[in-house]
Amino acid sequence: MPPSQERPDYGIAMWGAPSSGKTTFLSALSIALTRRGKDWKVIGADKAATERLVNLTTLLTRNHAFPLATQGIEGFRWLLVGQVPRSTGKRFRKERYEETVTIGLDLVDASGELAGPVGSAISKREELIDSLARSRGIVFIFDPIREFEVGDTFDHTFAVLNELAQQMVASPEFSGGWLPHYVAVCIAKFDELRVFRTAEKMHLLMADPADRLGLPRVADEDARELFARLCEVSGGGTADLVLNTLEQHFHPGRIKYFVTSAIGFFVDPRKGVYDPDDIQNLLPSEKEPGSPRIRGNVYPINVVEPLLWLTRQLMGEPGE
Amino acid sequence: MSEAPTGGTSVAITAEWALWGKTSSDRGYRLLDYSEGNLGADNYSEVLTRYSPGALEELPQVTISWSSHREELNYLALAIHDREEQRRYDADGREIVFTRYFCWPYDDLAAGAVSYMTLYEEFSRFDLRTQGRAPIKTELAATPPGVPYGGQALRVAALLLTGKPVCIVGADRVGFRERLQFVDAVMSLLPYGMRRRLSASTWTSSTLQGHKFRLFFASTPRPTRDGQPGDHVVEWGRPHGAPTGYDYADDYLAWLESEVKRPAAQLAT
Repeated sequence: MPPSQERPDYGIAMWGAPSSGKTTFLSALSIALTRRGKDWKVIGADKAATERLVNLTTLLTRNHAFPLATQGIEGFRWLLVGQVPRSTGKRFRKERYEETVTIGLDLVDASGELAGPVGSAISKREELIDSLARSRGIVFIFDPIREFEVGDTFDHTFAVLNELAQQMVASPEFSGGWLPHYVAVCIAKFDELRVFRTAEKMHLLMADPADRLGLPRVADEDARELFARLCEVSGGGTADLVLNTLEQHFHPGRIKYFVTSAIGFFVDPRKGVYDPDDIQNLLPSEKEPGSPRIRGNVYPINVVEPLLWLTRQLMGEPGE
Repeated sequence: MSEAPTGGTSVAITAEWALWGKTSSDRGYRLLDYSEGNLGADNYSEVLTRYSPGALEELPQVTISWSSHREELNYLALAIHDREEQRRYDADGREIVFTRYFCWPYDDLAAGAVSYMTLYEEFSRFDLRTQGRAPIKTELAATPPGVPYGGQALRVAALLLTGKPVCIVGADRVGFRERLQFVDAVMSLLPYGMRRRLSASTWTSSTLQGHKFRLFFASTPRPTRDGQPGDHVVEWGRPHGAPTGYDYADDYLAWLESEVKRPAAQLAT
């Protein structure tokens, strides 16, 4: 069966506050796919995109370091290539086979400053709104640590959503008062102790039976509940408005929540096991004060799933 | 213009400036400081984001840009993107790249050809954290750049006349100083009007969307998107003798080739 080269009509945009982990999320994608097995892989669609993919991935794997902060708007096209089960024939004579599909990810990674409440850099801010308007899939990164410490997620959400709605209000796709996008809300930095402990206290931790290391996860069905709880305990006092604002602007049936970590939990490389009493994979560097280092190998959690979910929605294939 | 101590001429300019970066408690880039003068915080934020070269792995790099103030005064600017000697990290532990931005009315330099290299070497001495708010007054040696790099600088200058940006690839292993000298050579070959409003960068992220540089170095060409016309792509060190495909650019290239032995500064006057 020849591979299909379906190209979605619209791309996927990344959106979140400064340093919420948008670029690191993308850095972890190839590693996450490799750890997942042989069903999906990611490649660059052109030389520039391939170079970006290689640079981001090797930073995490070889240098155990985070990418530099994005400045401006980076855009590149990656391709998810994988096998999907298909069947032909009638009910009792179905033939099942695997089809190779190639899904384009037109990714837009904008610096978080552009989503701020005061858009002094007007021209670039307009580019961010344009890129969101052109996309039909959004990865929204919610950084609970930033929300604990700075408490400005609502500022970065409200202004952008209103400008986006204003731009799209005349569009036929702006139906029923909803923006037409699918939104994967990623509650980032699950590996940070404060986020992990909150999930633990809520009894939301579980282990994926398919994961041989038994790394903890939060089920997608529980992710919204954790998001709401993290909003309640934030420092800024406006985080609870983030959830409502998102669900006011996007159809709730088009939003899905994921609890994610780009680097995952520490796994002792000598023993190859996860120790619940020694989970932190990010520690201060002794050589470079102020610069944390990734301690062990990277085991991304829920990095592939939001993108696969979005691409399947955009291709009209609901469900996992 | 006055006599420089070395016997050449020098030009006095007053540069306004801005510092862009982060403190150790910041998470996002912002304007950290700027001088008193005609330009304000909004002007600097706008121009520094408009002419950002994207995330830079290799440092330092230099960008050249322009801006208008109240539609009357045309400013030329040189920005130095660099890390500090003692590396600094933001609140999330990410390394901070600082941008020191210097600008001055274009007409202050139009009288004498001062190379970008001279400007870089002069302004790179200034630590803007200890500068106070005063603009920088300095004298720069007028050193008209030569036209090295064989015919490549001539061809790039001619290509810039087409209105499409020129991307130079294959210069990854060339130091940023040599790339800056190349920009100098190309700029000196452009008509005066174009020099006022030309932007250039010694390095640019290939995946940075919609950047405003007309002449830039990158590791790979920018992908063409949405049917927009792409950039002219020139491979470093590989002369190209074929016609550009634009009559006026070919005419200009032919004229440059016949006139290149004349002092380059004559083209800018």
